Amino acid sequence: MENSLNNQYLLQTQDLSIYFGGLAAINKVNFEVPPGTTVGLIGPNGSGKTTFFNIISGIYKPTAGEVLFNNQNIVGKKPHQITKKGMARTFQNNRLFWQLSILDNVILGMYSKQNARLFDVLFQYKKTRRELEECAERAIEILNYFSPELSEQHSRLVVDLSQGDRRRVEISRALASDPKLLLLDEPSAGMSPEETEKLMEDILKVKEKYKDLGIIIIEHDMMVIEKIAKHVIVFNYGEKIAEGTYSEIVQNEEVLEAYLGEESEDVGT
Amino acid sequence: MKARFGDLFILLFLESLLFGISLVFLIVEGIIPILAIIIGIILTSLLIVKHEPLNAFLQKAINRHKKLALSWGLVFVLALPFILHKNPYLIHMLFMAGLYAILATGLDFQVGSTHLVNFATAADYGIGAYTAALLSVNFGWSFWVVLPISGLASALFGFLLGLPTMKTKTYYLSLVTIAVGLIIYLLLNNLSWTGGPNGIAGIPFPSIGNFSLGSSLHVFGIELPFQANFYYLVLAVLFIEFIVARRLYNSRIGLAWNAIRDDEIAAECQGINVTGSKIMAFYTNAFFDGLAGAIYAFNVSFISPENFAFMLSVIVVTMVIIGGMGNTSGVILGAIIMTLIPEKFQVVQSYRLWLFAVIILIMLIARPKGLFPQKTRQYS
Amino acid sequence: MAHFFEILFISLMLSSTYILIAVGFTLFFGAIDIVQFAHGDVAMLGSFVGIILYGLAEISGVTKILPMWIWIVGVILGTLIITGGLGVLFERIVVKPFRNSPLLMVLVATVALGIIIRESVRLFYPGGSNPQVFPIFFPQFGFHLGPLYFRVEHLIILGISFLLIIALMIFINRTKMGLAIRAISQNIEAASLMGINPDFAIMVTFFAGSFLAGIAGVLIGTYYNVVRFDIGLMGGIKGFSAAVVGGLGNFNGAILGGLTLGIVETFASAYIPGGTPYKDVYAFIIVIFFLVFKPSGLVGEKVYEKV
Repeated sequence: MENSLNNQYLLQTQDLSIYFGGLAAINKVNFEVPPGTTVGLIGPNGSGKTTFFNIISGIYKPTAGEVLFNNQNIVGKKPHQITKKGMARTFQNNRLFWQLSILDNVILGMYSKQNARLFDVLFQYKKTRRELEECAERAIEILNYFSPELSEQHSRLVVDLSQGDRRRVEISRALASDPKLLLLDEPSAGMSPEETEKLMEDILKVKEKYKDLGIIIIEHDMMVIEKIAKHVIVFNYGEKIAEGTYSEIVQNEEVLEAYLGEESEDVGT
Repeated sequence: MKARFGDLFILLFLESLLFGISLVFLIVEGIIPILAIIIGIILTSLLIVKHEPLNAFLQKAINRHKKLALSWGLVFVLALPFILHKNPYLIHMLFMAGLYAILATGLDFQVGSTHLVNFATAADYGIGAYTAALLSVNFGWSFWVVLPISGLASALFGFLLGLPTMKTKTYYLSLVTIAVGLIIYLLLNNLSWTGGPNGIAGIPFPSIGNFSLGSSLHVFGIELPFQANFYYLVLAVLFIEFIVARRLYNSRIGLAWNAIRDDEIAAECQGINVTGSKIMAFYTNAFFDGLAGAIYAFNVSFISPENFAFMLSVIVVTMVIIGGMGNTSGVILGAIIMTLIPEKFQVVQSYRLWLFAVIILIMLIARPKGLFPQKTRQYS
Repeated sequence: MAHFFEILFISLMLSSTYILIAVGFTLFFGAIDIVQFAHGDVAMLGSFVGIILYGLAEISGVTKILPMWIWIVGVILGTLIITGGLGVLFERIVVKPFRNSPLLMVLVATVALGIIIRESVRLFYPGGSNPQVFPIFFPQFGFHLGPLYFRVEHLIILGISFLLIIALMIFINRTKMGLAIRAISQNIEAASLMGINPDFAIMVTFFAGSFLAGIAGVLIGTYYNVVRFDIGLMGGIKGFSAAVVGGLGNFNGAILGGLTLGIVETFASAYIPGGTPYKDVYAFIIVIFFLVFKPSGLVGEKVYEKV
């Protein structure tokens, strides 16, 4: 299979590897995300999915390989630089700014779009204040889109929210930066079936509103993957072992074998 | 219409009452009245906080008449030297309280907003003071030229100190700042051109035209002792710093600092340059510490390394924690209270440090967010 | 040449003190991820407890009744046990309440604790602000070996320190209890699954670390013959630095770090002209260098934060 670096992909990795000590957590992975597509990333626990996210979002530096985002090589770039280029993410264990309000969290999502520097804040305060107020308005709009209750209670501290609401805030924060690529890391983790159902609706709403948005979603809940992902990639032991549509993947022998012995009752339909 | 002015008058009356009691507290001697006042204020505050209707009424009144209430407070603060003109020592005490307030407000950027524990305040302060002293004594430069230079020198030091914060986590950062603080102290104590343990003496009083800040001020027929000049100087700098702090807080810079405090990795992923943001906290803090150092040097005319020892850094950290991390007004109040109360307890002067430490522990266990916790940001 | 050996000797003495305190820091950090900023002051308390117990022994006449080596051992052992106990007490009061709070809290709380300890000694111990004479436990004569002159007392102290550190290494690396402590310092939850009660384990860790700090206090008192209420501040900072330079959480690191710091400090102040007042500066420069460029220390492992 040809793996040349191609202009048509939103995100592309080639022979991406990372070693921790002597262990390859990610081993020669080639991963492509076409623009505007939702790709599901599945695999047993410890197969390297979150590590993969950490590499492409700049938190880890890979030992070898390339990552092209919008045709730019982003290996070695820091997370804040990559975010500015149009990538946003959520985290498996919900990394919100706990002692800040819902509104402040979402406004922070727009940090990379704001321009205020120290000089501006000190000597052109009114201008920076206006910019912040505009961001606040847009933040309320985004929150409104997902759940009007959240936007109404926007002054509540995030630490006081339920798990479902926390996820919603995290996704709102990620969307606030108007990204081209959104990384969702196990958004349904810790949720009840009803909450997961609501979450799926929310993600579909996102896809409807932001039609050009590329998404990579890591999930253990196969129902979510089936409903949302057009294309599915499977990891095992840090390597890509299969890719295709959901129905293709579910019948793939290697994939089934990888999950055999896994406690996950979500496998299969 | 009537109700509006009604609660305004009540508010101003209560404010004046508070000012009056503070004045009495400042002037009175003797441990019993002092303790009585302190206990009275604590009980009243508890009452106000717990009693919902009273609490709500006061909040509403303050929100509605904020500008007027603040202006009235400002009038009082400006009038203090006039009221106390027979008592230069008290005015000097207020001057010192103002200096500590400047130090604490700056430190709040790091400790309060970003949770960066910095034990090098004494080093910034000392560098500001020594820069001012050296330039003035060796080259005869005027205070007004030296003041901004001291601020910048200290800011440069703060910037350099901030550089290693890139990789350092909480404990390591505190160790680095302690180590650097001690190194600066040792250098000040041993280098020949800093005067060694004898420090630098003979720093002249600043002057505006022909008027020297070391001479008394005649206003409205009252003779104000020269300490009043420095009191107003400190007030002006504190006022500017307060505005800067408010602006930083209500901007994306302050938001970024809080984000870093809550989750550094998530902050980085929102596009915040965490390293740059932390370093900014260092040098903005250091700048004001430097200004304070210069003012101090020109006030006391003689400085030595003893004035800039590790304990000073610890005391300022205390003020931020007790006053309320992330709350500028709270921190200023904390600094003032923690300077004035130990002064009044002259009897227990040698217990001052011990009491400080015990109070820190109590506050950390009972009210870890400080007396005045950070308020949620408001948008229109 | 003789000079060199004397300097080496002194540096080994200093290193032993640093090592003993550094091990405490490393133990505490390994067990519950905190830095006990008042640990140096616990060592200081150890020396004062030693003075008190010796005084008691004299007053009660024990010194006259029992053979010398028995009561000396008794006093020293008593000092160490009491110091260990104090360490546990401090942990219960000042560290435990902040188990689940931000790091900032424990840090400032232990700094405050350090101040309280120092000031309490200064204020409440009779004549506390002055240096206190430390009792003499060991023979006071010296002898020549070629061009070198040695004091027996110093040889004994160095010998004891050396033996202690060897014993410590054996204890940590070869015994069951040592294994338990190492297990705790790696992963306290896993250790609890192996039947070790984590809270008890924490107390044992603090007892052990403070016991060692007590030894450091006694050694300092014996070597310098005087102790003061504020020796714990610098001692603690240096001990922490030693632990960090070696690799916080790693026992062998604490030993290496202590050696590094002790040797650098002594040799720099001996051989660099005009160096003595700056000896602390040299030590701290090394520390800052490590903190910035190699925070995992000489032998520490690089830890990847779980994201």
